[in-house]
Amino acid sequence: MRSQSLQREAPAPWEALGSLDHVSLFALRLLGERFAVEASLVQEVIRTGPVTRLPAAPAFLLGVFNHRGEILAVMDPAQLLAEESTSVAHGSRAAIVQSGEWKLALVAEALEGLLSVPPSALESPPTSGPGPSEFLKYVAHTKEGPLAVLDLARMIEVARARSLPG
Amino acid sequence: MRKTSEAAKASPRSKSGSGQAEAIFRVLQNLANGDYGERVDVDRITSPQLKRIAALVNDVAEHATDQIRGVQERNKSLRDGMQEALDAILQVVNQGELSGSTGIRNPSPTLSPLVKGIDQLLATLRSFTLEMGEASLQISASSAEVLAAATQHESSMAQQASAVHETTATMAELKSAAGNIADNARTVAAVAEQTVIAARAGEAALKSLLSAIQTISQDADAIHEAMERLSRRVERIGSVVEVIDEIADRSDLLALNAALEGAKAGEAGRGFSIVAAEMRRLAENVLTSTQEIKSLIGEIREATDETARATERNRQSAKEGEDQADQAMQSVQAILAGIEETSDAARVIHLATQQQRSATEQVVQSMTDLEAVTRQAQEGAAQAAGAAAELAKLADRLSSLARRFRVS
Amino acid sequence: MTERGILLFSVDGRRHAVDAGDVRRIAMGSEDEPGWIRSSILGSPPRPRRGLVAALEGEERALAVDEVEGIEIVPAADVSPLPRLARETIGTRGIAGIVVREDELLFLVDLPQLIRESSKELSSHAEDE
Repeated sequence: MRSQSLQREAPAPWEALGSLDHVSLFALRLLGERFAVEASLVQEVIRTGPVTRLPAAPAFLLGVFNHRGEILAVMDPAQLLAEESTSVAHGSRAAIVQSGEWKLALVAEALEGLLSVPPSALESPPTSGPGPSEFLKYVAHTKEGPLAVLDLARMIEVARARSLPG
Repeated sequence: MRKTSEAAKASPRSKSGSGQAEAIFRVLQNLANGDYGERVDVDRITSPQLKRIAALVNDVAEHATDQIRGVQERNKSLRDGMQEALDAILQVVNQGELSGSTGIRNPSPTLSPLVKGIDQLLATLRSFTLEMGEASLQISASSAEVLAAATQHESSMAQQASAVHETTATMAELKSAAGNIADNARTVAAVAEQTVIAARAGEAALKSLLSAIQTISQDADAIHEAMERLSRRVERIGSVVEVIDEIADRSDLLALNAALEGAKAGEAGRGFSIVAAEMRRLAENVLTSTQEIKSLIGEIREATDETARATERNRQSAKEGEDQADQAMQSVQAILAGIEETSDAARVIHLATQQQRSATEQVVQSMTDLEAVTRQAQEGAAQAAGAAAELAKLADRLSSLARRFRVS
Repeated sequence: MTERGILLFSVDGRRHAVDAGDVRRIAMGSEDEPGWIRSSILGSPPRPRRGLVAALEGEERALAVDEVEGIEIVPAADVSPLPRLARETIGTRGIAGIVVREDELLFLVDLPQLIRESSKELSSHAEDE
């Protein structure tokens, strides 16, 4: 389900959603904890199938795979967040996400699915600095507990910056 | 006794003739009654016949009276002698006086045997008493010795009994040990026998092994030669294949490059590419075949090498085997000799232990008998001790009896 | 172009592709040919039978490969560039794209670039010695 979000550059990210009475998120599990991405970025949930590893690749780039004729990169967010590998078996679930011109597959320990939160449940992440909070857009408070919402664009930016010399 | 002269005279009461016979009759009656005192008064007898009878009667009476007087005197002296003898005997009896004799020096002939007899009796008693005294002393001493000995004997017997008992127990153990040894010896003998059989079988087996090894040696040489010939042929094939391989490889490369040019030329090079592809297929076929041949050659080489190695190993093994079989043969023969000795020895041991076992059994039996005998001896000794004690007591009594008689 | 000619080769057990245009010719592999690249991001061929010869700045250089499997004409659609994130983050420019085949994805190797990068490795090692 897609929320009608307006892509405005607002200082408080959720203010872009101000006129709406709920925010759609897609929850997933990384590093044993609950994370989420904005549901609007998620295109589908798939099983990756065999992932072709690339030579001289950074740790967060697991490789490429064939998604219905389209070759997509596969990224492990856990490597960016904590330099830990998400254990991926053949046929692991991944979410196809698109952030601007960037389309890729994100692997996770588990994909929990869509949920709605009221804007009032959102709050700023802890002060930005080194560490995982660098990659958080905001924190959503839900019945099941707090949910760290990932800033996908930021993650891709940081990933590019960490490219290996070649 | 009244003397004859003092004999009363029986006078006739009457002067008649009957009265005179009566007087004779009276004296005769008195004589018959044992009264020899009366005489007939001959003077008063008138009848000459009666006078003669009366005188005869008076002679008879006188004679009788003398006779009687003589007897009475003899009797008296006899009685006196006897009284003395009796006194002597009484002395012996009452006071134990054996040292003397009767004291009767001149006994009447009548008494003489009696006195001699009594004197002999006294002498006999004397010597008997002396002997008795000595004997009783000896008996006393001996019985004391016997008692001591019997007591000693009793304790020795007890020791012996316990020693015998111990020995019996030890012998029983020895018997069972001997039994074990006998059994073991029997087992050893049996095992030795079996070992002999096995060793003989081993000997036979070794002989056949030796001949088999020699056969292998000969076979190994033949195999070795055959292998050599095969190797040479394989080598020749190998080198031919190498040449073919290289040619095929170059052809393949040529075809590849042709295909590459065809691909670069695009549409124009399509036909070229097809020809190149064909050529490539041919070259690949050749290469596949040569590959098969090469791998086959490789296998043959390996097999040949392996066989050569094996043959060499066999040859060496055969040699070693021969040596070892020889050694083994020697060992087996030594064992056989040793076993036969052992077998004999075992048999000897078995017999010996069997003998020992029966000997031991005999000893045990003897020990048991000895034990019984010892027990009997113990009882006997106790009895002997008791008897000796009794004897000692008797000897004492005898001694004291003998002491009652004075012998010197 | 609706089609592309690609050369399929293998190095150390993995199959790769290279554009036919990148390869001037295929040479006989040999152990002691000087100037041949025997180690790259693709690995090292244990038994190089062939060499892929490319023209680099006027001279011929070769990449040693185990086998040249064949030359194929494939639809252009089967050949994709690397996804941008991959292209920008991996430590080589020697992979130009991905060739989609029935059941596998093959790297489309930029042969001159690969040789260049591997030559730099060689020369930098040589300098260090």
